[in-house]
Amino acid sequence: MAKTYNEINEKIASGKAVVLTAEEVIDYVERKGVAAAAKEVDVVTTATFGPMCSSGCFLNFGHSAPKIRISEAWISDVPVYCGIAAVDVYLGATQLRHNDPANMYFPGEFRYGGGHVIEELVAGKKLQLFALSYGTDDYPRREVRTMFDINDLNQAIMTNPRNCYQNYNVAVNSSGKRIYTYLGILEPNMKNMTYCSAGQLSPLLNDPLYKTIGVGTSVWLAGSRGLVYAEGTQHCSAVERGANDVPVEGAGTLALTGNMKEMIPEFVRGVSLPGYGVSLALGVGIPIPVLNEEILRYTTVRDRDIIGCAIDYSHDYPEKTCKVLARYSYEELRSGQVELHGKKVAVSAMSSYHKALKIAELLKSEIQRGDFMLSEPSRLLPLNQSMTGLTITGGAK
Amino acid sequence: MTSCKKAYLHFPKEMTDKPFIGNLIKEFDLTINIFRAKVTPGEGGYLSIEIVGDDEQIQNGFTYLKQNQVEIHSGDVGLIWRKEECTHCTNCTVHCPTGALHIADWDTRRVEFDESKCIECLACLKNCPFHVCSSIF
Ligand code: SF4
Ligand code: SF4
Repeated sequence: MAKTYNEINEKIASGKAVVLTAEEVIDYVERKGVAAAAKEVDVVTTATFGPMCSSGCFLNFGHSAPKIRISEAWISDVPVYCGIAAVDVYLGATQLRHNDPANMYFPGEFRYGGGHVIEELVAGKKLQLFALSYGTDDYPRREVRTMFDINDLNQAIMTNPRNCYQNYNVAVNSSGKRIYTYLGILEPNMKNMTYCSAGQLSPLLNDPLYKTIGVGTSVWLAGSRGLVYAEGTQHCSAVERGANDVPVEGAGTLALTGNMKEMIPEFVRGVSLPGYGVSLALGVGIPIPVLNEEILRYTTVRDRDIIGCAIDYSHDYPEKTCKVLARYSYEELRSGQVELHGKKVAVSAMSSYHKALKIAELLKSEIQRGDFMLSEPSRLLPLNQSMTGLTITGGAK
Repeated sequence: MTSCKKAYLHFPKEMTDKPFIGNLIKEFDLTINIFRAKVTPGEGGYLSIEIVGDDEQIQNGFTYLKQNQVEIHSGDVGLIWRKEECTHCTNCTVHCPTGALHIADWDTRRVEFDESKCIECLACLKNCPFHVCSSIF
C-alpha cells in the first residue's frame, strides 16, 4: 500500500504520524516484516554530524549613512567575499584568518577561521566588521569598522554547495612519517585509520537512489528549517554500488541552505585540522517519508551492509591513483579496530555518531509534535551522473 | 598507609632557587614523578607531579611546601576537557595513549574523560578538531 506526501503530512499535522529513527527502524522492520511496517511507519529520520568544508553563508549588513559599496571586508579578521551587491558578503568555512601563518611552520595550527566565525555568529557573539571601498557617487563611504551580532543582520543565510556526502573514504597512512589531513592526523605505518560518516543513520545511505531526497526536500539544518536547493557539487551517482544499491564511495551530495538565525549553536562548530586548515562541522537531519515498501527497505540498511574503502592518504589519495587498500563495513570500522595487511589498526571517526543520533531524535520529536512537515522534491537528483577531473593545459598563449 | 597523589605546585618567583623536590624525596621519603615542569629563575613557575609515599609523610611534605609559599593544587590534572563542547567524534581516542579519553558507551558512541588515567601528554590538544581539551598551564 503506497502513501503520498499529503497523507503523511496530514498525519503529522494531526500529531498521529509514526516516526522512527534510521537506527530504530532496523529492528522494527526485522520484527514486523516490511509489509506490515510500511503500513505503520510514516517517517524515518536520518542524520549526520561532521566537518563539511563546502559550507558558508551570505550575510547582509544593511546600509549605513552615508552608504558604502563594500569591496573588501573582514569579519574578526577573516576575509569575506565581496564580489556581490553593496552590503552582501559571502563567508566561507575554510577561509583562513588574515595573517594566519598556514603551514609556514609545519604543521600549522589553524586555530581560527571561517568555520569559527560562523560558529560564533550562530552563538550570538559580537564580532567585528572591517570593510573598505573605493567610494562611488552613490556609495561614498570608504571604510567601516563596527561591532555586530547576528541580530543586527538583515539576513544570515547558510548556503552550502556540498554537504552530506553519501559515503566517504577511510583514510590511512602507509608512509614512514606522520601526515596531516582533513581526516585528521594519520600516524606512520598504518597505525591509525579515520572515517567520516554516520553510516546507518546517514541521510543518503538510507535513500541510496535518491527516491525521496531531491531538490526542494525539507531538511533540518542545524536546527533550522532548511532545504536541498540543488545537487551538491561533485555529485557523482554513477559509481560502484552493493547489492543494496549503497555506493562504496563518495557518490551523491546535497547543496543545502537554511536560516542561521534559527540554528542551534551545538550543531554549528568550527573545526581546526592541524597541518590542513579550518572547516565547519554541521548537524543535518533529513526525514524520509515511507511512501512504499521499497523506500522503507532502503532505510533498514545496517552498518554491516555499508562499505567504506581504505585509501592511502600518503600517496594514493594525493596522486589520484584510485587504488583501494582494503574495504571495511561500517560495523567493523565502528568497532574501533580493523586488520590491514595482517596488522591491527586503530580506527576513529571525524564525524559524530553520538550527535547524529541526537539529531535523528530531535527531528523525530519535531515531526511527532507536528512542527516539521515534509516536502516533495520538485526535482530528483541525477542518478547516472559521473564526475570529470581537471586537465591541465597551461595558461593563455 | 601508602598512597599516590597528583598535584600541581606553583612557585612564587622568590622561591625558584629552592630544591623543593630534592627535599621532598630526602626529608619525607617520597617518590616523585614529574609530568611537566616550567620553572624560570626569578619568574616563578609550576610543576605537575605524582607523589607516592606514606600518607602522613605526604601531608608533612605539603605542610613544608605551604610554609615556603608554594601553592598546591592536588587531586586533579592539568588537562581540561570541556564536556559540553565535546562532539563525541572519537577522533582523540586513538591518539590518547592511556585511554583517558575513551568511548564510554559504544551504542551511542559517547566519549568520556577519565582524569585518573591522564598523563598530560597533551596529544589531545592538537588532535581534537574542536579545541575541547586545553592545558591549564
Ligand atoms: S593529555 Fe594525553 S593522556 Fe591526557 S587525555 Fe590528552 S591524550 Fe590522553
Ligand atoms: S576529538 Fe574532541 S570533540 Fe572529538 S571526542 Fe575527542 S574531545 Fe570530543
